[in-house]
Amino acid sequence: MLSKIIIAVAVITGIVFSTCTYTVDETQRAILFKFGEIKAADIEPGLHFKMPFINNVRVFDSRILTLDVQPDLFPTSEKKYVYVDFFVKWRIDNVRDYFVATGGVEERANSRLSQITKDELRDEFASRTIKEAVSGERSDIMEALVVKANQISQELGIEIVDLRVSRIDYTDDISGSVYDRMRAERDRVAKDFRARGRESSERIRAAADRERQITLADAYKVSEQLRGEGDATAADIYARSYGKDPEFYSLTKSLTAYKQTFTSKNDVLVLQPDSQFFRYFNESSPR
Amino acid sequence: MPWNSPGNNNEDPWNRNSNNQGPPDLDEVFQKLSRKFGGLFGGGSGGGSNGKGGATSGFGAIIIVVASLFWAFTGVYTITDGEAGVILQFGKYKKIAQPGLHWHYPYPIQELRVVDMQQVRSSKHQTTMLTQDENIVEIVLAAQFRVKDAPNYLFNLRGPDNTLKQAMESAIREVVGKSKVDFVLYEGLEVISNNTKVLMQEILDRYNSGIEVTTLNLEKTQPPAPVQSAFDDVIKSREDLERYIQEAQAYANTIVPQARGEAARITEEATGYKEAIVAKAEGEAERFEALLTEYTKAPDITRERLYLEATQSVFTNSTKIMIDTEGGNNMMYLPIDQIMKNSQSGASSNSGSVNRPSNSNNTSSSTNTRAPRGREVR
Repeated sequence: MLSKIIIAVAVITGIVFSTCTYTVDETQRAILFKFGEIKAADIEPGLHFKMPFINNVRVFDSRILTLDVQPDLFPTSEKKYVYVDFFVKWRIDNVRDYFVATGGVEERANSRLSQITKDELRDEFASRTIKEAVSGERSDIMEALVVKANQISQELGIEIVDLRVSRIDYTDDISGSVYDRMRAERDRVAKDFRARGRESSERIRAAADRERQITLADAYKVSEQLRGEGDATAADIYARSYGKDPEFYSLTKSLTAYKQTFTSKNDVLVLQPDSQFFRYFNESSPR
Repeated sequence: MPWNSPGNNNEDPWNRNSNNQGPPDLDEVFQKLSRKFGGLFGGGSGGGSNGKGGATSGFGAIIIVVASLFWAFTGVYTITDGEAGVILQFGKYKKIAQPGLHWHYPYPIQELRVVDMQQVRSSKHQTTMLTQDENIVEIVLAAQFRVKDAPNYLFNLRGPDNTLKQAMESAIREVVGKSKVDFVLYEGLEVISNNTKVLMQEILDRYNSGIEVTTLNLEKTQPPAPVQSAFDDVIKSREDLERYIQEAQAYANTIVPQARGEAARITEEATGYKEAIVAKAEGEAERFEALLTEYTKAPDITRERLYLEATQSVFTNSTKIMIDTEGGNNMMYLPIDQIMKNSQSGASSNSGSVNRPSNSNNTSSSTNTRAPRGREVR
């Protein structure tokens, strides 16, 4: 009997528990309705009570949700079109407003949010060049957008946690000319390197040539000095030696010169036998 | 998505539900304990039912006891090292369970979610992007993550995998968008991967995602294929620059020593000339003085001898025409060209007599060789 009572108690407890309580998960917030009218919003995680059949409950995801927008073309201030891919991180801030504005349908919230952020982003890009958008001001755009979008999104009961431009890309036809420009830039850099290489090369070669020239000229200078010293010493020696008897020097030098001048049969001498050499040519007694 | 999520597609990769799987030794523990408790509790209720004498109610009681015990034991769980167990009570976050064997209130009351804290997940990402100077670069990025805060990881973010990918892409694009192309491609790989890691961590922290970026590597940065050759050419041009300089250096290294050698030759030759001409002068002077000494002893005869010897030598070696017509006014025909021709044909036969004066020169050359010796003595 006791066991039956226990079973009965357990079953009744189970039924009461399942119909009169509800749990809200840590990742959720809940709204409690009474015949469709919101009685309590933003119900925290945990165990809560409700009246069966009178109250009903809807839970909403309170985590950070992602709106990943399809890449879209935006014009920049130079009237160039760029592909911009961005995503929005948002969470339900006010469950009551969120439910009223969207009926609790996430897709509806996403499409409203997408519309708002795209309009804002278009404005931001239209006032900037590609360079500004790509480099320095990317985070500025994000911050500005978060602030602006949050003003509007408040009526949706949501908070925009973060908005990030993940991708800014050129369209294909612009990419072609960008490649051309990149090639030209690289070409410039390469030419610069090569020209600087040639410059250094010429400098080094010229310096080497100069050194060579100077070395040779110095050597020539020294050699002429040496030759001059040699010539001077030789002249001194000759002068001192031959000065002892200039007349005899004339004789020996002349005779040597004669011998060295007439050495070939091609030298033809037409003579009359009246020189000293021919003194005895016509007669044997001294004249 | 490159997440290597094995098997369970609906679950988060780090999250496994304790309802799906229990520790392997649970059955054994359960049986042992149920026997012990069953004896105690079942004994008491059994006594009561025995008093009433209803066997069926005793059996029912046993079923209740077993059922409630079974229910109670669904709350037994183990957490291994490197895992974190997150306990929720009626859906609300209660506590983190440390590694070991634990028990929580069973299902409707408490719930366990286990997160693997140690497992490192990696993600790879390849994309093209714009640099600050509006160049396009291709980047392959690999990152590794792990959970650093289990409750945040479980409760703050829907779709953490997708968020990781977005954070990674957004971070690398922002960092590259603030850098010049040469920095991205060559010099700044380390800086860029560090900055990207920091920025990515900032983004993930802003979402309270509970995820930590452990490593982030730029595996590859390269220019896009259509301009690859132009970028390669720049690298080549750097090498060319170096090569031109090396070649010029080689040229310099060749000609400068060569010039020094040449210079040495020039000075050596000059020194040689100097020494030679001085030696020659000394030699000739000594020869002259030696002859002069003899000449002063007998001037007339020596003068005569020298004259005759020299004249003989001259006449021997040359072609001579003697005209012994003193004071004659007659025109004379001398066929000099004929004489020249004859002398040329006879030159070879007369070579011996041509050599003779060079023989007599031997005496002068011997005095020349003697001369340096004389100077060494000096």
